[in-house]
Amino acid sequence: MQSNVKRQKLILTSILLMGLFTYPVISIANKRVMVAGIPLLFLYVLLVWIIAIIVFASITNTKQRKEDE
Amino acid sequence: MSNITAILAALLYLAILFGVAYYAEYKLKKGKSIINNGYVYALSLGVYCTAWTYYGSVGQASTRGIEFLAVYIGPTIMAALFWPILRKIVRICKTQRINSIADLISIRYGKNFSLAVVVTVLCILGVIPYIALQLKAISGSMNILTGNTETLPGLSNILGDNTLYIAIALAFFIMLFGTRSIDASEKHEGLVAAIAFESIVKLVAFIAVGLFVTFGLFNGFSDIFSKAADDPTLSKLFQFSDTGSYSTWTGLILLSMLAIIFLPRQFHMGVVENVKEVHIKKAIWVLPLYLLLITFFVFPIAFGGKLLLGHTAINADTYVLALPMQHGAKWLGLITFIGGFSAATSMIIVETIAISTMMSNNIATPLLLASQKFKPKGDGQLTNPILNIRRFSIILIISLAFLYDKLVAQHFSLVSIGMVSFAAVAQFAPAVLGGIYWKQASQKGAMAGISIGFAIWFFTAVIPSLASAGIISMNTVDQGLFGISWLKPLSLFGMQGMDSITHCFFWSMIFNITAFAVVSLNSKKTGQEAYQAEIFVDIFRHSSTPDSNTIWKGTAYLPDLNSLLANFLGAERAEKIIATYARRHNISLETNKADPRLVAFAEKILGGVIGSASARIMVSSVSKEEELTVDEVLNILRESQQVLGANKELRKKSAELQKATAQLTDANKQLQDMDRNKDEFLYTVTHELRTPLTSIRAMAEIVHDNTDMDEDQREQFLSGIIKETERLSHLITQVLNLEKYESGKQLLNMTSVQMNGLINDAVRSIRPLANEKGIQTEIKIPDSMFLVQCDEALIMQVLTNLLSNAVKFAPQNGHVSVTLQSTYEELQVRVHDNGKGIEPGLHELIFDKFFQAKNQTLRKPEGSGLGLAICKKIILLHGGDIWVESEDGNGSTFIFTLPLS
Repeated sequence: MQSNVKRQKLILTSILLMGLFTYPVISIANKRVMVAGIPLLFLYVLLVWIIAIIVFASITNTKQRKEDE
Repeated sequence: MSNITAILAALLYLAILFGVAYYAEYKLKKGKSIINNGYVYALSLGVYCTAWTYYGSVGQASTRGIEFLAVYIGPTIMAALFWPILRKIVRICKTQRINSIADLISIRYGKNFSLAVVVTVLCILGVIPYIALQLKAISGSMNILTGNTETLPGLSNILGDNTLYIAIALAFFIMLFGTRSIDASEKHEGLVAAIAFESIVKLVAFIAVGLFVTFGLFNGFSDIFSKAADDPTLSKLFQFSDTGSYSTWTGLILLSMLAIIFLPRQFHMGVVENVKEVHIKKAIWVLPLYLLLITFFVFPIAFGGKLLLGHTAINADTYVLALPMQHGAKWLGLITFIGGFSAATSMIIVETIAISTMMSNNIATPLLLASQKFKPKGDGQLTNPILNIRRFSIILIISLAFLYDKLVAQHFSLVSIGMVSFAAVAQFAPAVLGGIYWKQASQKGAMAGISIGFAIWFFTAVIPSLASAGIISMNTVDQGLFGISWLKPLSLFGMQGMDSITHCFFWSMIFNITAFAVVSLNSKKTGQEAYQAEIFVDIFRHSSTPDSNTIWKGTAYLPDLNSLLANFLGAERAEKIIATYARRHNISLETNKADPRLVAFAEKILGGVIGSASARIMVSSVSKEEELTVDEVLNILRESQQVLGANKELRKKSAELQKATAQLTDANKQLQDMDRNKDEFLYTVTHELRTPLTSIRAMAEIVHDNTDMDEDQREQFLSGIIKETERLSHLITQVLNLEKYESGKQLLNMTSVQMNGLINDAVRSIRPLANEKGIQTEIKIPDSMFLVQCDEALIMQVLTNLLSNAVKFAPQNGHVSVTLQSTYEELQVRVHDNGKGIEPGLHELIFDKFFQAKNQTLRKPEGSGLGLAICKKIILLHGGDIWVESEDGNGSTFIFTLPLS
């Protein structure tokens, strides 16, 4: 049951990431602007990536249960 | 730096690698597995990052900007799907003893032999150039390190070529750690440990270069980017240039999402070498983190390199190494070289093992078995030939890669070959994903999809690269196949606006998926296929009952089966395996005919050794199998599912029954106890009633019989009769009261009562009795008021009872005291006498009904023996507690408490 919820969360995250990383959403960051000395597009990709890792870790790092389905 | 130093460093690094692998295997022998760890698993998946990542991504970033990152973002997105997808594949491969992607596909589609061959061939064609690319990276980086600028294409100076010796050492390593056991589905402890170690080495080395460039050659990130922003050619790379690059970007993300699972090396590390499914959970976030870290410094190095070395002839693919070397950091250069070397070797090692397993299982072993006109003779005579085939495959693959590197690869840049091989393995995705989620997927569909995808891949990706390398003429590329203009490899059907890889990926997948789906829906499946489809798609349901629902129909003889297994495993091991299996499943080994389950089991075991396709040929060579129809297969599966369900239901029912029985037994015991108590109570009560009745009767008879009795005497007997009658009615009242409290009929009439007054009243009422015995009474109450919620009459009854007991048991001229104390929660009343006390053993018992009556030798037979029992009931009804503190000879103190709120 819980494992199933986890699976759904992960699938949802992957769909969201696919949206954030591809056209048209990514075109929002596609500007000739530097933020803190770093091109906006690079910074955007970096931030989404870091957030994705944190979300993955928080979804998967629940107390270890006996894995089964 | 001299040539010798470079090659020594590389060989020293390889020696360390051997050490790590040996150490892991040594630890395993001691019972501790290093690779049984989620982080090691995640690091071993880092084999994704090859020399192409290490050197090539900088080159690509410096010419095409952010595009290269797609190859690492795809796997990041896919990591989230590891839990649903990769775990399912792992579970399937574990239960079916599958050890390569060719086996996975061929077993799913009815253990089809030709499918396994096609997949193997596609893997070889797609991946050998990729291995060659790694060798090229090693020789290229060695040239930069040693300052050797002359390149020697071809085989003119083969013995002077460092790459040759590196390749030989690698082949040796792979043979040593990759062909340990005949059973290819066993884990390679040392290999996985070494690959995880290499992942750390390349990461650390790359970050070291990144830090050196960013903070050593420049003043941090913003310095590099602001300088690059001033350069119009570089600042263009900060953005996507046009909508075409969006489609390339998305195409590359999708392509690499598939590659992270279907590349043979990823499949090998992620599925075949997976120790526990839970490790996948770790990899879900550790792998994306690893990819982020290893690509973090690519932009700084790329732009830094362009800014510092852009005017020279140095290839951007080599900036990682060239930057430290050009700026005098020779030691860092050596570390960088080792990092790139580790990236290349890890890829070569794992890819070679994966491909060689496929090659030996699906092509070489069947040929060998066919050519020998195989007759089972037993006793492991085929163990060595099979291991040798695997070793030979390894040498063959490394040699092919070496030749490809020398003869062909020198013409390509690093990137294109890598992407071509990604597109090749993506052709497996529809067959595999369809196979594990879609029962309708059929063998003909898979064959059609993979074949047409393969053909389009070859036409749109391989032909143009061969043409641009000058190996075939450019005519086909420029004018289309046979001069037909809409058959141009780079713009098939006239499609334009995509780069060549996205173009290839797009068309091959469209055709692959369409063919797969359409043919699947329009083809009939065999029983074997239907069975495998069922097992694969519902693996989580079936894997809980392994082997229980085997389908195999036909005749086979046990000795044949035995000697067949013995050929590959040795007689002793074969016998042990069969015996264990038979014991576990209650199969008799007495009969000559083999149980169908045993036949299927033997095939599965053999599959782990020689691949499913060969195993099937082997088993059918010693048995006569009858074709099962689809209906038969589905019936078997359905039945076993039903039996399973019925079993579960039965178990649940019987557990419920057991629980109910236990509850009934308990209730019965309670009833019996209560019955016994009641008998005892009745007995005691009647006994107690008889005593006064007997004396009343005796006295009444005396008065009745002696009519001449004088007045005084008569008076005395009559008052005795009255006294006994009073005692009798008192006893009956008490029994009735007790019954009332016990049955819960007594309702408390709660009021606010001043405890001080109550105690004074009680003591006053008992004083005449005390004075009679010359007993001092004393009241110790603090000055303040004590209000408590209780039933005044009942508490008064308790106090009177305790006080009269105290007076009763205090000696002549003794003393009795009442103390009132309060804490925040409760009020405590202590009634003390200085009588002879109560032994500790009786402290609890005296509150029992008729305790005194039953123990009349201990105390004088005064009172009914119900007083304290009633007191206890009353206090408990109030939510308080009552007990006694006493030492023999020092008097006793009865204490009761009442809660204050």
